Amino acid sequence: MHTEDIARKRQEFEAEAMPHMQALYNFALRLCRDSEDAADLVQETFLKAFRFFDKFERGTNCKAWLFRILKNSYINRYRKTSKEPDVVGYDVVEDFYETIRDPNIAASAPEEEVFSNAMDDVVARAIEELPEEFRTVVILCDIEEFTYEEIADFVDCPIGTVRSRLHRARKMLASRLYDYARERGYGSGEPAA
Amino acid sequence: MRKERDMEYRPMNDDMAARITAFIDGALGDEERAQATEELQRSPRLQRQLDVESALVATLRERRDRLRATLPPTVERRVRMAVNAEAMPRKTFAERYPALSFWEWQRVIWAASAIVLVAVLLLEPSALRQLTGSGAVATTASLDVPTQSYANFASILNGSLQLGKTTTDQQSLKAYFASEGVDYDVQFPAIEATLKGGVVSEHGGRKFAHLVYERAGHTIYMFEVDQESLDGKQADLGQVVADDITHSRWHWEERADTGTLFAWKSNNVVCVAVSDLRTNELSALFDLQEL
Repeated sequence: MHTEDIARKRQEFEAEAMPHMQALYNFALRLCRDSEDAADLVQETFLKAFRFFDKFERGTNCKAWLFRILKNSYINRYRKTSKEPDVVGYDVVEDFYETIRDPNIAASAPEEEVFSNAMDDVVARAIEELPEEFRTVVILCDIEEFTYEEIADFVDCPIGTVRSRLHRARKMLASRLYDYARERGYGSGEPAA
Repeated sequence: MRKERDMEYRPMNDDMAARITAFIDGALGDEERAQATEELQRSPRLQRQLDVESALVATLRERRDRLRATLPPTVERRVRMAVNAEAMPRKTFAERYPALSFWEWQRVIWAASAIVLVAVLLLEPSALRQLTGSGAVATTASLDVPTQSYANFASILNGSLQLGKTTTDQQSLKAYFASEGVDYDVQFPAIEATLKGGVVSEHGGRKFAHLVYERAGHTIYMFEVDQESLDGKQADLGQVVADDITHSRWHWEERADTGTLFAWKSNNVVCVAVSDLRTNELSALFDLQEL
């Protein structure tokens, strides 16, 4: 490749790909839960992306393309060594929307208040504590603004599964934030038995 | 127990609930949206889900930027440097000098060699002994050690410069340097990083040792030059670096997108380290009092 071509590629890569580094790092950190591993993963992602930037279809979503590279790198590098899949503690929150119908909670702490009173670090921790498959869809949809189609492509599953997973993920998240609100005294009622 | 709870609560149909999630995100087509609206009017449970989930989504989206982990500047810098190293053009001879044919180049090379040889013999008669005695290639220009150190560091990152010996053992690396003709006492500084190995280069008939360390995914590259080569002008540190080492023991500099350079002298050997770490991070790895 000629010097001018490389310079053009570098310039285009800077404009298209580099602005997504923050989002990629955030996602890598949520996946790896270790800052050094996340940094390695982001570096590997950008190096691969630069090498194969010619294959990136111009006009399509560069961020989604980078996330796919990151996911594949993550699977190659880290998942090989993982011992156990995440345990999905979904049973605990299956009936969440029914159990929070306690009028005490509804009256004294409307949803907006429950969630808005939670500190940022509490919300971040609640997301982090979600099992991986649920954490992934919440981050992609609610933090990174991916469409359902892009998420389906990323996690390699039908759109119906994305909906269902997102629904469950948010329910678990809401349940944890309600627990937090109760601990802080926002709602006095216990879940209805 | 689980069965009893199911019977008691009659959980919502998961498909319907998931449809409300998609409704909130505006991800339904016309038909499904109409169905969801109808279901919401019929079911207080779904209405409750809509209220709670909408509030949660609003909270998450409003705090989107704050919920993202901050990208550490060191990580950004490291990624940019890795990409820059990857983007460094690796030209072929023909790409560098496309205008001349092979035979034209042969003539240029012979002419240049003759001029250099005459100049060397006129200016430095002892060079004749170097040329004939050791068989090494004699060059007239001094090696610019700081510039070469940055370039070597980039080459290590992009893989175009490979280690001649991969080892974590100092003694074995020392033996390798000696066997490759490095005739000075190679220094292994007190550094909190893992030795990865080394490689030998040659310039002006002198052999130089290069060491590579790693710490938490960061590469620390080190170019070592003996005082004799500096005195003999085979290598040059530049005025600023040389002055700093003489007057304040060491020299530090940071170049954007290139790296941090740290130079010091230890037992008659000048060591020049380059890394993508920032000055404070790189300095923290060294036991500066021991250098």
